[in-house]
Amino acid sequence: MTVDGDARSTVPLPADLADRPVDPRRGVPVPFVSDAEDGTVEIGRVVKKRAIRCALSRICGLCGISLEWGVTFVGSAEEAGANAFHYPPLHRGCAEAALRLYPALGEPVLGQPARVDTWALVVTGGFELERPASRHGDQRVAFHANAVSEDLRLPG
Amino acid sequence: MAISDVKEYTHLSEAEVEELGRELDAIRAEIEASRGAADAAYINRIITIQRRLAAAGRITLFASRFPPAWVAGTLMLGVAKILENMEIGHNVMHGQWDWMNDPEIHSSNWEWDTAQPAEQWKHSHNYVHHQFTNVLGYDNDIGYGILRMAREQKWHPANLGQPVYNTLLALLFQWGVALHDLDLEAIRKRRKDPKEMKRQLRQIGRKIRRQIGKDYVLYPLLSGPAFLSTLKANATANLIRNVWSYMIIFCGHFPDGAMHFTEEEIEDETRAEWYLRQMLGSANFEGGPLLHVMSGNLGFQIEHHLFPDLPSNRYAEISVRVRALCERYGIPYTTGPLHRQYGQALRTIWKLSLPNGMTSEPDPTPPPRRLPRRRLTDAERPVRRLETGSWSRRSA
Amino acid sequence: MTDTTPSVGTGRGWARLRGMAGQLTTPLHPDDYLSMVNPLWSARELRGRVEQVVPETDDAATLVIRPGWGWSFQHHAGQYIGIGVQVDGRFHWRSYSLSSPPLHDRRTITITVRAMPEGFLSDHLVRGLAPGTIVRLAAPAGDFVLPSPPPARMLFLVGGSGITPVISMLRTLDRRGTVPDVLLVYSSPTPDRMIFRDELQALAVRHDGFRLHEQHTDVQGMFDLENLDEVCPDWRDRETWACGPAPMLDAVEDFWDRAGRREQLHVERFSLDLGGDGAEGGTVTFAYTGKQVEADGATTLLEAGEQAGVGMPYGCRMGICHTCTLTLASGRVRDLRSGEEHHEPNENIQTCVTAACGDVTLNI
Repeated sequence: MTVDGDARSTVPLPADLADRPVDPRRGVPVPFVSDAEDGTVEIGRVVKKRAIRCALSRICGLCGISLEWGVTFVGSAEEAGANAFHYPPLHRGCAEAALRLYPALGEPVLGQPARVDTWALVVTGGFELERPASRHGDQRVAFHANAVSEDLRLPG
Repeated sequence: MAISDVKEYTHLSEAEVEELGRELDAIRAEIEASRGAADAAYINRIITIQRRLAAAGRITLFASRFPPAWVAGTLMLGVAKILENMEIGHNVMHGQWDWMNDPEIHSSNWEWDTAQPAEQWKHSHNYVHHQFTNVLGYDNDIGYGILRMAREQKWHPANLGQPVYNTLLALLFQWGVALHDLDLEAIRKRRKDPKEMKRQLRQIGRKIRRQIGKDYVLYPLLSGPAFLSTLKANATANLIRNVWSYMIIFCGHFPDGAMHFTEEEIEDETRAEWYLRQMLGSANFEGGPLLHVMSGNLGFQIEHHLFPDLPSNRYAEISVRVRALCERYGIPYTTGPLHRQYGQALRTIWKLSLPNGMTSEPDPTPPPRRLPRRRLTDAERPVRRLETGSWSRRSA
Repeated sequence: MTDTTPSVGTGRGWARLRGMAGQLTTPLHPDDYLSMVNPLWSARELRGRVEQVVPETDDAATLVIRPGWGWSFQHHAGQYIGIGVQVDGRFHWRSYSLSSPPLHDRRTITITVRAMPEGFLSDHLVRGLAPGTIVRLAAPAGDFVLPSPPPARMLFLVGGSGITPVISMLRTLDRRGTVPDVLLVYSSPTPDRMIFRDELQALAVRHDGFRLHEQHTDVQGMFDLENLDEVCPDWRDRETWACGPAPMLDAVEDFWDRAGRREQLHVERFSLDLGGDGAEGGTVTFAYTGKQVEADGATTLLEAGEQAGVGMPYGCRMGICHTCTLTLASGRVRDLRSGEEHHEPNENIQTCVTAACGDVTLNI
């Protein structure tokens, strides 16, 4: 499964993801976790409050609906190697659609600070939420998978 | 008195709080690493016991016209409902058992035997209550929108009826919980999105229809001539569950010693400060293993709030270490017998039904510092202004 | 052809009855109560009971599984299933090809598992699983299937445990009594390690059309595709199925590409699950050449060496053949499959499945 270059109009989306408000400029759904409730759109950002909500309420960071068994995380290969993701848990279907849709925009997406060469998609039973330890340093929350059943690498 | 800065309240320096955070992190990591077959066996055993009790209760109640069968069936069903609600449902939905990678015991698809839809519970409880624990204006569990539980909450003449609302809430607790995520206060203040409210009401309606159908229509009908006695038995079993879970839950954050917090506290709260707030805002109660299982291990409310997604059967062993940590850092650890914890909650409900002027303020003195006194480092000393107008630090 | 005689509890009528009974058990499903009486009486999540564990070779065994309700026995020969096994409280999932033909007795299915030396679950399945264990199942899937009707001439290229989907196809053909012209080229280190060897030899005796070419790689070396013409002169006209270690399949795909016959080739890859704990990465130094490279926690030492331009030995690239084994002069490495760490100086490590945990020096 490779990431399609011009997939915007042709990538089939899970119904709940397609229901999300669409960013008029890019023509893609605005992820639930990047909605800062202030009218601005930054398609790749992780709003900390929302990320925590996704983790605690067990909802998908992209479509905002209740997760299903087979919780999925996406991130860089480094994040997967360290088992520390910074994008909240997702539905498998939403994660796969997202990898076909967002990287093609050519900007940092899915919580990553820069373009990613190899995406990792990890499916797990459960995960732990790690809040930032101190006011200095990395202020992002992190997610650690604790029952990995699939670990895939995909070119960016 | 509501706390704005947990560090100030507990007389701990930033470094000490971080150290405390690290020690709690270590406890967490140890428990995470040691989850295994024994824990999996525990939850599976509890689930099997609960389902057998429920099946036995229902079957016994087919003979509900016969008083001993009525009593036995009602009790079995009541206990089964309590177990399902507290030790199983609440804990599974927190994700405590997700690590097993078992699709039949998973937070994403567990639906519990009460009127509230799981999705709404996971929002109002897992997120709103556990993230904003005891923060005034954010945590809806401070009074559930109908009770005044903190002096800082503005008094209104309607609060005079509080003891009555409290009794009603106890008897009808599952219905109160069902409506909880609607956020009555937001609705009153017209802050609630009407579309969202409609969607939630529809979801609640569907759940309620199935629950009512099961307990108050189908089972009574199936027991034929025992229709009325089965209906009364089911209602009583629900009542038992309502009152018991109400009492346990009210012991979690309403006894004296469980503090409230202001908005300022949660601005850039670090992980260690979050831990501290959870400890200061929660209250335990004491009891034997049976009591703890029957109360969903919420007698370890402090430990549950520190580690909501660790398996509940581990809270007892965690509590020994947490208690020792509190001792060492001089942090109050609120606990007591069940009747005293509930008694204090009840007293507060009565007390706060009256305006503040008519009742006495609880002693606001923070606990004394227990850590040994030592010289402050240069970094910890306050900055002093000299007469010439420049800043300097007082030398050691 | 499709026989849908259901066992009690699994037919449509019973499913409807259980659905109605759901009103009484809501929010649970009746199956949640039924499974307390018999674990197989539940279609909520597919599951099965391990009836027997039959050793095939020293390191491989066939698991005979009795699926519970909801299982359709009509898989296609060559497909794989998911199997979830609870080890130390956690369910671990793997995929294995079904070795049994479809509908062979409508009660059980079989998978044949080979224990990888450091593959923790496959080892448990072959050596540690007790009959009576309840396992979870995922429905059959996969496109590596025997077409119906099968073509007149077929070629199978198989290495190691790649025989499992193919044996299912061969057994299906055998049951039907009509084995067309089939040639199986089967590579395995030794005759003893060759799974189903006796059965395949018996098949060759029973059916004129079936030919078995055994390649014992320890003695004869790997099967060289350049010699394919000698063994199978008409291979260009045959539908071919290949299943085995990744480098073998890479070579086969390349060979068929060059002959312009890629559409006739069907390949099934058993991918290795690198889902174990990651490593932190570090600087990898290659002692003899002095070359150095920065590697992250997900890059294997083999890949790191290749990136650095070092001539690294390799074989299966899956941790089975040990061709890639080198000496760890210093540092700490982690096996990406199991999370196990190695750090003894002069310890032998397999570079294809380990990654650096901090700075590492290899003797090469």
